[in-house]
Amino acid sequence: MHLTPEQFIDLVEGASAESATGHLETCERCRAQLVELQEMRAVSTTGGDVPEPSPLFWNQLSARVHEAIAAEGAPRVAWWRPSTWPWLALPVGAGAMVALVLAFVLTSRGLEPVPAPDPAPIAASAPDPGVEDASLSLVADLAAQMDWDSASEIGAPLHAGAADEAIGDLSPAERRELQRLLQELARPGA
Amino acid sequence: MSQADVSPTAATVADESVESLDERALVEACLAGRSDAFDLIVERHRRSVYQLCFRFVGNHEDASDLSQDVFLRAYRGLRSFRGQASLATWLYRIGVNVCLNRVSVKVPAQVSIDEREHEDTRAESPTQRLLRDERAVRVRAAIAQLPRKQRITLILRMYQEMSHQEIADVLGSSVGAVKANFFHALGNLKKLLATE
Repeated sequence: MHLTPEQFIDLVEGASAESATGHLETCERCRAQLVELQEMRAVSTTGGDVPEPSPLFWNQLSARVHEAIAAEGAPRVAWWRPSTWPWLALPVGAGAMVALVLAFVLTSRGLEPVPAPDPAPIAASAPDPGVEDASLSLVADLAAQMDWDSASEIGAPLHAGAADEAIGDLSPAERRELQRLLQELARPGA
Repeated sequence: MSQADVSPTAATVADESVESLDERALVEACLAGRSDAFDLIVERHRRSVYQLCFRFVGNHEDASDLSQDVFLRAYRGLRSFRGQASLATWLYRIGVNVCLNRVSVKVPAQVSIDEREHEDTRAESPTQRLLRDERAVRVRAAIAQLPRKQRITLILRMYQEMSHQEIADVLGSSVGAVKANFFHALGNLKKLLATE
């Protein structure tokens, strides 16, 4: 068994392993190949010279980059960041409210008459693990991370029955889009 | 404690000199709208980025354009920098992609011997200089013919002096794959130089 490429590179770069050096003592072919690799490594160093540009070049390069960036504007937000989807804020917020109400209704079924949901602590309304619908769990998670200010910013209504009102205000097309988005977000790996 | 935990936030760096900021904080300052923070990133990395580009394309004009492109793309994608790799590694990754895209549509040019007037060769005799330059041109031409991954690996390892792990990070591969590419690059380089 001859040396592997990894062992050769380790030897060429001076990081010898005992097993490899032991083999080299008995294998003429590997010894010859190692010498060739060492020679080529030395030869390749001659191709790496980079002529030093004019001392003025560096500042010119910085200035060119600076100008290009000034023309470009602010750095773009990565597409996968939620902040790039402002148009999602309202439907997701409304969906979150619906999920909270449903979760509450499902868990309280059969106990007592359903009281009006407490509108104050949105962030404290943890999703119920008993809710099996993945999309509802997801929006419940999203809602749990939402604070008062964020909810107010997106215009989410915060009184009892607000979720129904929010859904009622959506057009048929918006409802279909909301449904599609929730299904997409609920998909494993999404 | 992670680096992010100790880095000043964008808000706290607003009145601070960017010179004292670490990489993560510099990026945050850029995102907060401080153009001087990105200027400093360019200043710190422009030489290594230019050298990487030059080694791919072999001439000053293209290397200069590519360097500008690398920084512009870095700026556009600044929000995707998560601090898992160093800023230098992240810039190299962008640089490699930019160079490969350019090189794939353009045959790498080589600097002629006459154009290489910037180098300090006072210690060499004219003959020695000529031989060295001719050899360098031949080696660069041979490297330009290597398969892409072998070429990248050889350039990053031999000229940019990056570790195998850093190269693996840049290429998104394993250390073993990097070593194998380097091994085959040296072997193919020998064949290419022998056939000239």
